[in-house]
Amino acid sequence: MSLILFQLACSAGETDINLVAQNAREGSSEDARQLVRAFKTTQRDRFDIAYRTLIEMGAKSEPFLLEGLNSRDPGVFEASAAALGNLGTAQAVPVLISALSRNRPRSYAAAWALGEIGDNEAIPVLVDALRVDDQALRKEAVRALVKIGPVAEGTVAGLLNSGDSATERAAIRVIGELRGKNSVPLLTGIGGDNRDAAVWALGRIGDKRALDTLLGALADERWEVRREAAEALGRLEDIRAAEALNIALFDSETVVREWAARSLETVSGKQVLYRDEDGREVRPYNLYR
Amino acid sequence: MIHWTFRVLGIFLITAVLTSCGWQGREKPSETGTVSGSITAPLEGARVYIYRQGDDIYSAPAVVSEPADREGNFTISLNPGRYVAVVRKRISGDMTGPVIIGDYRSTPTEFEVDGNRSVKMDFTATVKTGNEKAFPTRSEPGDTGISGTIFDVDRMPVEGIRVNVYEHIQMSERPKYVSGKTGPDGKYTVLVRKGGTYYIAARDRFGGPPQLGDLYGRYDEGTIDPSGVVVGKGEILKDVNVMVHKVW
Repeated sequence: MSLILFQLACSAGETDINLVAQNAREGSSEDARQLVRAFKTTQRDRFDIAYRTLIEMGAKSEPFLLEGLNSRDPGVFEASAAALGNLGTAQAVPVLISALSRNRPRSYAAAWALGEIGDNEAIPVLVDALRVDDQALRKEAVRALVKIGPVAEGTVAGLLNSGDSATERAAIRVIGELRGKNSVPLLTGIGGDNRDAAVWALGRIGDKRALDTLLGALADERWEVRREAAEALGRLEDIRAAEALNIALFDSETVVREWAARSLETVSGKQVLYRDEDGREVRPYNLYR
Repeated sequence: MIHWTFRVLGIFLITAVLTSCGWQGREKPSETGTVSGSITAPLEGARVYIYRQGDDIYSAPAVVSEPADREGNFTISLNPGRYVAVVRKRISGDMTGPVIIGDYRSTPTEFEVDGNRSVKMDFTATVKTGNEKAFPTRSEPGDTGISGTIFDVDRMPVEGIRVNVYEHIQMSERPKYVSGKTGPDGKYTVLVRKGGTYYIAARDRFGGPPQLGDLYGRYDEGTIDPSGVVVGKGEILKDVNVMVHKVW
């Protein structure tokens, strides 16, 4: 009997969410608030209806989503932040910045939303978020800063050589994606565990001032660094890299040989073979097809 | 051992008519044949998986039909060429994943699309009664693969996620390899045929771009392009952990 009652209750709930959504669309504030509260649910259908409805309502849903940012429930906060990011609600920026600075649970969603809204005011708090030992937050802070654009480069560059490896690595990722030419001298000086990331960033930036650093990296003791250098030299499209890439065709690591061949094809305009893991001489496949 | 059997009676009429099919990204040439037929009860909802001859039938297929309708009818458009067809119907309703006990599957059957010729094919599919493993998910000596854990944003393991492995950085093609669904511990292992650079995504649904509300994550550091993982021949690369969250 209890199972039947439970099932009835569930089916009634499913009916309700559609009714609530309809009422919210027709202007009922209480039903709009109920949709925001439905972000607590673990039932995917109910959640989807609530989220989609509030997005479809556009600016009319913003006051209720802003209330949702103050919820103690992590799910309500998370989805409210995401919805406001989707709607590009500039009014949400101060609350999102505040949430991010307090590092409340699931603040990654605040970082994501700030990137979608794209307000320069968010740069300092997003740069601070790169320091936080939270994989989700750090990753979304990187993306948000990249979305905000080149104006963020100077502040992010302040984290290079910061002493914390993970923070520095995140900053390198941002600068690489921003094609931050002003940071090339700093990047060429990076050592330690983040050499591979720095070489990756130099390749993304494509500044020929990095040529010597990249040629040196092609002989690094870590294969990860050599692999990144082999790729980065292709991005530079500088024929002066051909000799070193030719040598790298004989690297002990297959993936380094493969990238050396791929980049050598770019630099020289000729077909290049490398020795694959089975000892066959093959062309690198087109990674970007 | 009792095998429940059914017959797929497919009269494959190859014409020059374009019709819709499940995955058709690479199947839109100027010359296209139509493969159609019917699947007898109880195979409503079964799909026909088409592989190019020589392809691994446990990898991503070239084309998958829409589920057969109540009468078992289906239609697929194909380029001229040689193919292998397999009928599968998973009790879970999933489009992909291991064929487990209780699921139906046919023997792979070769056929050719070469113009206006009609082809008649018969399938017999059985209910799987043996062990549950179909996709390679366990490591053995000499295997090459990738393993790790799928986490949510609260660093809790996530159940019911498949890991898709791509060879190309855009990750827009069909995945080359797909893991079985993660269990309560969020752990996965997916074997690959050879060493190389791979790109990883994890998601709770299969097919098409991730949709609003799906659980999805890539192996990356927040960059626009995903981070490649490099697997050596004979190596099971460990701790390739992926975080998933809802697609907003």
